[in-house]
Amino acid sequence: MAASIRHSIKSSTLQYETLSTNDSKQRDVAKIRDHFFNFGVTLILPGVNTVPNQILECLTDQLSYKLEKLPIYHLLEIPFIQAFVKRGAIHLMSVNRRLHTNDTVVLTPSGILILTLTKDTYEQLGLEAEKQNHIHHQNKTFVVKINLLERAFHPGKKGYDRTLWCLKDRLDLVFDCLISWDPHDKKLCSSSVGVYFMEKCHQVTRIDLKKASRNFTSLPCPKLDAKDPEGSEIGCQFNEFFEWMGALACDIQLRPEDASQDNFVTTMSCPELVTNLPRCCVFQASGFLTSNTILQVWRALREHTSQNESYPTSLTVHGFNDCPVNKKSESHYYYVTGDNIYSLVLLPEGMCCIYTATGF
Amino acid sequence: MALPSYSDLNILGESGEKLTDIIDLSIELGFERVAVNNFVANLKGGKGKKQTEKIAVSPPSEILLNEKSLASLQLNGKTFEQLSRITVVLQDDTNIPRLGGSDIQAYDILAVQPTTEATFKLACQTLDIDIISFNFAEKIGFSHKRSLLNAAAKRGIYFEILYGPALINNVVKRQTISNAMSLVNVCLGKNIILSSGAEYPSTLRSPMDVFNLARLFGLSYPQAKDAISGNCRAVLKHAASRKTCKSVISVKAATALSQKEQWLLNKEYCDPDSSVEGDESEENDGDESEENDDLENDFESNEPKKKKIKIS
Amino acid sequence: MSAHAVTVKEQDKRLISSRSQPYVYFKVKLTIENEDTSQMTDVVYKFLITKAVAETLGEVGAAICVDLLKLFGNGVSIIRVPSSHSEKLWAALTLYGTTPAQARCAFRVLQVSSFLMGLAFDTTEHS
Repeated sequence: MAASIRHSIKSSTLQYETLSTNDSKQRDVAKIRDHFFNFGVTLILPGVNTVPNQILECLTDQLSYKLEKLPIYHLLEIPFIQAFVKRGAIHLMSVNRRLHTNDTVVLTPSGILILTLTKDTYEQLGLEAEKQNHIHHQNKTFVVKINLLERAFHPGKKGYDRTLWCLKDRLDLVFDCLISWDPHDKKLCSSSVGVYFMEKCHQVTRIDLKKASRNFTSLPCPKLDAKDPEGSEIGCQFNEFFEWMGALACDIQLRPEDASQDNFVTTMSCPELVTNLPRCCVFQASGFLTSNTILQVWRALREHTSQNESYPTSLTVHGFNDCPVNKKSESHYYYVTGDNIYSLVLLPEGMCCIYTATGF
Repeated sequence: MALPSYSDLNILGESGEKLTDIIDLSIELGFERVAVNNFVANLKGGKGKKQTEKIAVSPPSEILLNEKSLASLQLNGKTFEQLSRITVVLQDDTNIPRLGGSDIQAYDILAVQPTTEATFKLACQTLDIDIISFNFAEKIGFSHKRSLLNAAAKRGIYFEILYGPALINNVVKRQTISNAMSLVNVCLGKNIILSSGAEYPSTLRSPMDVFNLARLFGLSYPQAKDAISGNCRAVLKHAASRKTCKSVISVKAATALSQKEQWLLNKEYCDPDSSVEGDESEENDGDESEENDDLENDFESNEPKKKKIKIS
Repeated sequence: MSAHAVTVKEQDKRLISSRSQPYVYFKVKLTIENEDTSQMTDVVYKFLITKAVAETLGEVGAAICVDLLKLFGNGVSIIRVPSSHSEKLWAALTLYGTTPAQARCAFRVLQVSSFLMGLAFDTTEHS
């Protein structure tokens, strides 16, 4: 007998968390810090027409570069480790590589080089991989982790010499990478990382953020009750609220529910209870953002909102779908929905909530 | 070395411009490997008297990409691999000797489409081919016996499901889905590849769409992913192994080794007793010994694992 | 939906983790051979979606609520389908090959997400 027809796609996981804005554990800050590689942000700013300058300023400081055709062994060289990995937070990630069908590489701020390799590459490379988890086993991928900051990791030691030999003389592992560097010492300029790689790869180009903002007047806005996120008489469900934020991010106009008379095209409407938002600005920026930049944006946003607390203000951070890590250096993987997003929402009465969407 | 990148191993290639359109679109949709198929509906000629009826098989044609798509490829630092494939319809066993001919072996991938029980059995058990394709548009006149499918899978042959014809009309669609589902059911979802068989650009779907179709046919998530990526890579490996000796060992001149392979000549690394940290993969270099390593994962393989590097 | 949700209650903290989402969102591109899809109205677009679903899944399938949330100019749209039927609906769109006017056409899915927020950016291409 033939197999039965399946119906639904396996969903991503959505995690919802409420905390007060002066949370003792600073979970909001931890959330941002742990997410190293970010593609872009969406800010929903009620009550304003333009994006406040203090928020825009946070985005101008960071310099990021695209390194074309970078041979990966350059990351193991001592001058690089000494000058950049040890003296700042380096964010490096391969781009335009699909997870599990291509090889990918990331270098985290904690100095760990993570190579997520396909079977053939792994077998030719000759470096030892971590124990495979369930998904890596299914996809025949192998994760090789190299800690660049380990004490014994220097020339003359067997481990270093072998790693360098494998990456340099045995196999051509060449990637297009995005890189950004936050020096610990504020006197140093973060552009030096771009200069350093000028000679070492095909081409270095600076990445400028793409920015866009949209204004809305008289926008229907749902109410989320932080104390009862599963829906009550005074607030909507937390996932309905997340959908509303998504609609704003995708520039979709929502109508209040009763106005939808002809619903042939769409039945989507603004979740109950609807309040009217007289003014709202949606700001989006994309490119390559480090966790540090996001943190600055978040701080500026909180400062800005302290005066205006009657409507929800939010910061959504979009990670890369094909990034091999999401939270810290935990593996990220997916088959269909590669969601890698989190949102921080400032609610009235000093409450804050965090949405985390992780793909399957 | 071959990456398990998104592949479409069946694009029907005839005339120039239409074919380039299809290939351009496939790049745009995210495929990184396509095979241009030469479909031979009737391969005449065989041994003895029949040699005179022989029709010529055109050699694999070279298709050049236009500048625009090349530029977009280079911009994103992507690679694109283009292969040639021939599919021969097997009506009976008379024209089988021709499969070994140099004109057919010139193609990268060799596929057959059996139409009778006898030729299907032959294809599964003895023929030296890479892909068995089915004409799902019609009722296939024979059953997929598990023993035969297993025998084929053991030899590293993959089964192809074409979704292109299903787009034409509802009858064919129903026929394709039900045939595909029964095939998947019998071979337990293993050794299946999905390809378009596209004659027009509009037949082509994105890798994600094909992935979901594979799910519809009853494959699990990892199997569905393999059907458009990992298994296609295995087909290539199998095709390469046809051209080597016993599929396990290949011999190369020492001078033909590339610079990065020169270390193989160094005795220190090849000698298992040497002091250098031994790693299994050192002796298992993909380019040196073309071994079809995917077999042992999918089905029990009785072939002994031999790893030897000979340098002349 | 709430049946799958796990709730942890603490004094100041609420944590909900849900593994199944009510909807799936697609970014879809419709191309019709020798035809310009940029002028297409949302009603016509929605009609074609309904046609595509009905052709493969029949009238019962066509009754499943597919919402056309946004139509960009170039035949690209964002649609929302109930997650419980998403796989079949997607396959129905994929297997749609000819319009009622007998022109060859294709619905191709560019992006999938369980959240509308996931379609705000396409993070796979970076040039």
